[in-house]
Amino acid sequence: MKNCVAAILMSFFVLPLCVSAKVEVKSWSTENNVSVLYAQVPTLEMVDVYLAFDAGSTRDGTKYGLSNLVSALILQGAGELKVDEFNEAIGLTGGILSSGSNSDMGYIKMRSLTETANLEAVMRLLKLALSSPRFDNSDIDRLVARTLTGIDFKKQSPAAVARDKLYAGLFAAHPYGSPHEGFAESVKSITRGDITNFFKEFYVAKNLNIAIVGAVDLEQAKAMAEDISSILVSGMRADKSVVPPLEKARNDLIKREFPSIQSHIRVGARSVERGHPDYFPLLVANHALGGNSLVSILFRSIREERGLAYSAYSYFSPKSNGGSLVAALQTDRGNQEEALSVLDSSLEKLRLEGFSDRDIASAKDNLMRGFPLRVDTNAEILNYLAMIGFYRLPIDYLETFAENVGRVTRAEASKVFKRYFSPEKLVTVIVGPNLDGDE
Amino acid sequence: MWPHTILSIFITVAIIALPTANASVKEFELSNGLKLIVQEDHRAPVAVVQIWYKVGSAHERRGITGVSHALEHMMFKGTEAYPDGQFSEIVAAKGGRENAFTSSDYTAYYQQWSSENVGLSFELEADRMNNLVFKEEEFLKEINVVLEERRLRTDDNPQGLAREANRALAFQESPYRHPVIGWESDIKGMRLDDLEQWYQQWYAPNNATVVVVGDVSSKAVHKLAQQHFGGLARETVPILRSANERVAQGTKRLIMTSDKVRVPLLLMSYKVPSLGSVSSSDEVDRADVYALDVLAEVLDGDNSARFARHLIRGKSLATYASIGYSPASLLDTLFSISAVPAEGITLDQLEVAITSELLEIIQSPPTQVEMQRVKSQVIASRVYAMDSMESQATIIGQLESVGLDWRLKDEYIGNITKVTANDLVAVVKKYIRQDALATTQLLPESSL
Repeated sequence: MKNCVAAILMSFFVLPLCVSAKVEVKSWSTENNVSVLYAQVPTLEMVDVYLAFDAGSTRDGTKYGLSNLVSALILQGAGELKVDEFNEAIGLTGGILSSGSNSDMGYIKMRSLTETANLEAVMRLLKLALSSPRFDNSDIDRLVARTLTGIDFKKQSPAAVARDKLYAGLFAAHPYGSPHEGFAESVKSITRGDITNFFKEFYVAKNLNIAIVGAVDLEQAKAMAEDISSILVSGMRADKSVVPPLEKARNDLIKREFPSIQSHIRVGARSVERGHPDYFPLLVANHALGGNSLVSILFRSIREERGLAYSAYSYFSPKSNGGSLVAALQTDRGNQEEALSVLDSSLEKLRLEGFSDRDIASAKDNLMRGFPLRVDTNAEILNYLAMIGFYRLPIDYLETFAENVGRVTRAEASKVFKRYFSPEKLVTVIVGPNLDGDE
Repeated sequence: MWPHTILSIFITVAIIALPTANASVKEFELSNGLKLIVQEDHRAPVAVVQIWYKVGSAHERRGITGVSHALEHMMFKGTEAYPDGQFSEIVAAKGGRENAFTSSDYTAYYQQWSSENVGLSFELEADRMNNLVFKEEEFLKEINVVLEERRLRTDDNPQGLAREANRALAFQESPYRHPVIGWESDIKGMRLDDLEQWYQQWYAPNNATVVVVGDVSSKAVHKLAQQHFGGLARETVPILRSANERVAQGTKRLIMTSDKVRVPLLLMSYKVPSLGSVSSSDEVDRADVYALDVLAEVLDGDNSARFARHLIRGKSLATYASIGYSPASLLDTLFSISAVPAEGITLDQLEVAITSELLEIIQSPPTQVEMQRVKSQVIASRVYAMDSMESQATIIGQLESVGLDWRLKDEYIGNITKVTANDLVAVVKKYIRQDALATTQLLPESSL
C-alpha cells in the first residue's frame, strides 16, 4: 500500500540510527581481489547486495557533482537496453536496483527474492549496468536538469542552507566543504566524456567492496561475488593523496538572512574518521550531548526545560578523511538569542566540568543495550557490512561494539569533547530572518 | 532483437511463488475490550510494542484541531508513578527506542527493545493510559514545542503549506480538511483543559489496540497483557459519526505564491474511497479501492511506471511526479498527484499533461506486461516488508485502527492480483473526474 507518510507526525525528531545481537560475518577476497563481507540470514526468502566504490564526491576534482551524476546514471539503461527497457526489466523481476553517492562512496544496491529465476534475472541486469552503462545523452540531460532543480529546491529550505553553510565553514576548500550534488555552474559544465572517464577510473574492482546479506549460503554468496567482480576491470585503487589536505580549523560565525519564521542554528567542529582512537569516546560524547534522543543534554535543556525547539540534537558524522560533530536546533526568531545562549552555556559547562557520571552512564547503557536493535533487519546488517568493508574496520566490529563503548570512561569522553569542541575550532551558523550582520 | 529476447525472459520469470513464510499472528481480547495482536518473529532477540488509540484529527472539530497531536506530546510528561521524564529514562537506559505518532485516524506510541521488556512496556503504557498528570507549566512549554514543530514542518515550508491548503480545498465537510498538527490559531488557543478532556474521552482500553511483534511467545504476552491492562475499566467512548465526503462539488483551484519558492509545485487531488470508508459488505466499493491502489502503481510504482516513462522521460514535462493514496484510511480520502515541472514548462501545461496521462488509462488500458510488473512488485514487496518488525506491527495497527481486520494484511496480495486492466479503466472513469478535482499551484512570488 502506498502511504502518505507526510500526514503522520512523530512526537520527536528522529535521527536514523545506524546498528542484532549475533551476526556471524564471513569475509574473503574474490579472484580479482575484491573484498567481500557476508552474513547468512536464512529466515526470509530474499537477498541484499551492496557494492561500495571509492567513488564519492571527494573524487570530483573541480567538476563538483560529477560523482553524484555518475552514480545516478549507472541505472539509466545498459547494454542494448535503453532506460525504459532496462527499468521495465527490473520491475518485472520484483527486484530493486538503486544507486547513489555521498562524499566518500558511490554505491549500487540490489534487493531480490531468492527464487532462482528472479535472482538470476536481477543479477543479469546488475552486471549489465556495471559492465556497460549507456550514459545516453538524453539521460544525462535529464539528470543534469533534475540535479539543478534539486539545488534550487535546497534554497527553499533554511535547514538545508544551514547544513551547507556549516560544512563550507568547517571544511572550506576540501571536498567535504561542498555539497555532494555540486553547484549549478559546475553541474552544467559536466560533459559525457567526464562521466565516462569517471566511471572507467573509479568503478573498478580495485575500488570495490561487496557486502551480501540474506538467504543464500556461503557457496552461493561466493558465486555471486565472483560473478559481480569478474565483470569489472581491475583498474587502479583511488589515490588518497589526490584529496587535498584539510586547512587548519578556525573559529567562525556565519549568518545568512532567510525569509523564514524560525532561525536554524548549527554549531559544529571537525571530528575523526572511523577507526580513529578517539572514535568511541566521541561516539559516547555525542550520544550524551544530543544523540540519545529523548534524554540527551540538548533535548533536555532546549526542549524539555524551556520549550524552545521541536528538535534539538547533535550528530557525529565520521568520514574517510576526518568527520564532524554538529549540534543543531531551530526556533522562532524571537527565541534565537535565548536558544543560542542556552546552547553556548551548555557547551561551555561541558568543556569546563565535563560530562556527569549520569550523562555518560545513560549514553553508554543506551548504546550497548540498544545494540541488538541496530542489527535486527537485513537492511541494517547490510549497511554495517558495507561500512566495515569500505572503511577497513575490523571484521569483529559488530561483535566488539558494545565492549568498545563500555570501555569509554567519563574522563575520556569529556576530554575528547573539550578537545574537538574547543571554541577556537567551532563554526556557528545561523540562518533566519532579521539577522543584524551580513555574511 | 536482443532486447526483446531479454524482455520475454523476464516476463516468464515474473510469476513469483507466494511467500511461504506466513507469519503466525494471534489475536486476543481482554474483558475490558482491549485488543491484543501478537506476531511472533524470532529473528532477533527484540520486540516492538505499539499501542494504538482510535483517535486522531478526524475526530476533532474546528476550535480544537491539533488536540490529539498535542495530547500525544503531553503523554511523555509523566504520571505519579513515573514522573518527570522517568518513562523515557527507563527506556533509554535499557537500550530502547521510543516515539509516538499521530495521524488523522489514530494516535500510537511504541517502544522497541529487548523482548524481555515487553511486560515493562505494558506496565508503563497501562499507567499513562489512566494516570497522566496534567500540569499547566509543562503544557505551556509543550504547546510552544508544538508551535515550533508547526513552523518547521508547515509555516516555513512552502510545500507543507501547499499540501495543507490542498486538503482543505478538496474537502468541504470531512474532518480530513484539518491538518493533523492543527490550525495555528487553534494551537495557540488550546488550553490544558482541552487536552485533559480529550484524554478522558478517548484513552480507554476498549479504544486501544496493542500490537507486539518480536521474539516472544503469544501466550506469555497475553498473560502479561492481562496482568497490566486487565485492571483497567472499560469506558464509554464517543462514536465517530460518518463524515464521509465523496460528493463532487466542482473543480477547485488555488494559486499560492511565496517569496521562498524556487521550485514550483503542482498538487492535484481527487476524492476517492478507502478501505475504512467503504462498507465491508459492499464488494464493488472495496474492489474499487484495490483498483485505485493498482492504478497508483501503474502510474507511479517504479521507474518504468507511466509517470516516469511518459512525463519525466518521454515528453520531458516533469522533473518529479508521484501519487499518494492510502487505502488504509478511516474516511474517504484523496488520490493525490504531486509534480514538479521540467524547466520551461508551466504548471498549467503540466496539469494538462497529467490529466491526459490519467485519462490515457481509458484509451490504452495497461498492458499485460504493465499489470504483471505491478503484481510482481507487490508480491515481492510483501516479502521485503517482513524484514522489519516495526513495519509488520504498523500494518497490523493501522488496519485495526481504521476499523478493519488485520487479516486483510495477508489477503492483500490476493485482492491485488484479482484486479484487471478493465477495473482500472472503470475507476478512472468513476473517480478521476474534473468536478472532483482540487488543484493547488505553488509558484514563486515573481511569477504573478
